[in-house]
This record gives sequence, structure tokens and C-alpha cells, in this order.
Amino acid sequence: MDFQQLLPAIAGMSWKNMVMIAIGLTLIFLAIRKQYEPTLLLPIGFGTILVNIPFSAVLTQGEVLGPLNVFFDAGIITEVFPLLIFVAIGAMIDFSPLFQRPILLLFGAAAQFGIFMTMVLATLMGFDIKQAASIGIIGAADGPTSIIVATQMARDLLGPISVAAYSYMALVPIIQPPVIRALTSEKERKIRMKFDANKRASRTALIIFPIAVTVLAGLIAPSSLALIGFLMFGNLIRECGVLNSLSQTAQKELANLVTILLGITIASTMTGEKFVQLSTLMILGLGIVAFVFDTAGGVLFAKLINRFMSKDKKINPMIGACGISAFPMSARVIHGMGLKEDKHNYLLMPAISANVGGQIGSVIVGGLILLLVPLFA
Amino acid sequence: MSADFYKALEISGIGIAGVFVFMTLFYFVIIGIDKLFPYKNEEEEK
Repeated sequence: MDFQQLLPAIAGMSWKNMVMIAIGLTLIFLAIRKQYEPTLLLPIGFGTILVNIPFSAVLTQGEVLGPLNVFFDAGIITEVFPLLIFVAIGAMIDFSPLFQRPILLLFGAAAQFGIFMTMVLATLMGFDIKQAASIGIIGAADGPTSIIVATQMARDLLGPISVAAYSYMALVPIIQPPVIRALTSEKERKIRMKFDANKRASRTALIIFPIAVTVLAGLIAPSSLALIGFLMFGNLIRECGVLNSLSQTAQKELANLVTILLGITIASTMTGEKFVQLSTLMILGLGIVAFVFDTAGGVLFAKLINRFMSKDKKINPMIGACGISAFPMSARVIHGMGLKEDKHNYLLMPAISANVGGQIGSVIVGGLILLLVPLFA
Repeated sequence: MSADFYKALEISGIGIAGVFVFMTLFYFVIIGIDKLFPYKNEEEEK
């Protein structure tokens, strides 16, 4: 009996497997020490170690099914896991801030600019249109949307796209401030926004909103219905007022259970052979570009509409950066930046409104990409 | 420039316009719902 038969895992270990195990350990370190999206990065990191041990029983070996492959086929390819996460996210979102100043919803559109910019850049770097669209959607700053688009359009790139989407969401406090400072003057960053905290939405309005959005989105772009429908279903459970127990379960138990499965299942795509490639580095680089241009798009749009606003209704352009979906991270960052410039400038409420708009905007863009790309591919 | 580049430009143009159309519609939905079903203080008392 030789060494290969006695210890096949050690004998079969390649340098790529070792690189991936190091990446897995790094993700676990970032999750625990830096608390960067720990609910996702820790399962992905541990799963990466699991799948990079040669002949690992978590992956299908010959005719013996591996549990991670079974989870992948049942939960990712069918989109069940990300859609269940949408139900949970919907149950967590409070849309009432949007009723206070609905114009801020438009930032949820402007701050999706980076998605399209990155898609164009990705085609220049040699990716085909489906791969480019999947890479661009990293800029949605919305993990489940990225997973759904990548699963349908570029399944081979699912691993790096998911890691980039979740990692950069955690890095919003580092990515956004320098971009905002570069595009705004001190005077602009000190703009105070009037916000009537007493203006509230009625319960009926909050119940009708998710239904109306679903019907409208479905009639115009049925391909967006899985994304927007599950998000709004979760929100309806929250707002209806008669399913509080289900709402709490969706926000806690459902979110936690599916997140555990989602993270470790995504890791099944992170084998050395698939992940250690030049394209992975390109995707990680393009992911940052997407976040930078998202931020720039939102800020520049705010500056544009300020040209048409009366002096007392001007919008602090930093609010534009909150149009991404990273909730409530982005709103908190902008609120902090506002206080740094002027310690009496409270931007939290408008920032949250724009951030909630970003959550809707990212899902809509996901649906539009799923609709448009097959028409051109 | 590859054919995919031009396709990406076209998709981007339609996509950006599309997301603005959707968000503008949702903006009017919010305005409409808020007008039809305004918040009343009695709700708080309930």
C-alpha cells in the first residue's frame, strides 16, 4: 500500500487547494475579528475549507452524493434559498420612512448606476454579456439578487460574485466616504434637510404599498416578480398586523436558518480549480468599481436635482450615496459623515428613506437584467 | 470593441431608464396611497 492510497487527501492536495484553505481562514478571520458580514462570511469561509480537502465527502464523489451538492441543486439552482431570504428581508423592512419624503425613492434608481457601468467595463475586459451582467449586479449591494442573477446567467462565477457582493457590503464604511468627499464641497456636505418626523403613514397605506408594488412590477416586468414578489410578501406579513408570529419567525428563525444553508452552500462552488483564476481577481476588482460608481451616481444625481430645488428644499448630496441596498449600513455611514461636518446636522431619517429606496431599486434592477440580457444575448 | 460591449451599452441605457420609470411609478403610488389613506391620530390611540 503506497502513500497515495493510505492518505489520499494529503497526497491529492494541490497548491490551489491550499490557497483556497487560506482564503477560507481569511474569511473566518474577517467574520470574527472584523465582524464583516459574519452571518455569511463565516459559513462561506468554513465551507471553503470543507470543499478544498481532496476527496471531501461534502462534495459528490463518483456516485456518492455530497450534501453540499445536494443543497446547491435544491436551494441555489432552484433559487429557493435566496428567495426565502427575500421573505425575511421583506419582513424586516419598514417602508414608512418613504412616505415622509417619497422623492428620496429616486435615489434608489440613481445609485444603481454602478451596476451598468461595471457591466460595460466587464465586457471590455473580455467577459461575455451574461457574465458581465452577473458581475455588474455586485453593485446592487444585495446578496440574494446577486446570487439569483449569477445562478441564471453565469453559474461558474457564482462563488467570486457572492464573496465580492457580501464582502463589499461590509466595506461600505470604507468605500463610500472618499468617493463622496471627492464629489462634494464642504458647503454641500453641510446642507441641512428639513424632515417632518411627525408625518406618518397609515396602516392601510403600509398594507396596500407592497401589494401595489408587486402588481405594478409584475405587469411591467414579470421576470422581476420572483424577486420583488417574495420581498413584498415578507413585508405584507410584517405590515398586515395579524401575522405577528409569522413576521417574527421570518425575521429571525427563517433568516438565520436559510443564511446558514446559503453561506455554506455557496462555498461548494469555491474549489481551487474554479476559484484560483485571473477572472476571480478581475471580478473582485470590478466589484469595487461597481460600488464606487453606485455612490458617484447617487451623489451626482442629488447635485443635479438640487439645481431645480428651492433653497429650503435642497438635498444634502451625501444622501444620494444611500441609494444602494446596503441597509442600514449606508444610512449610518452618511449620518456619521453629516455629524462630522456639522454636529447638529441629523441626516439619519432622509438617509434611511433613500436606503429603503435602494432596497427596492436593487431588486428592480435584478429583474430588469433578467428580462433584458436574454433578449440581447 | 466587441459586440458584447455594444449590447452592454444598449442594456445599460434601457436598464437605467427602466429603473427610473419604476421608481417614478412607485413614487406616484406612495403619493396616491398617502392621499387616499392618510394617517389619522386615532390610529395611535387604538
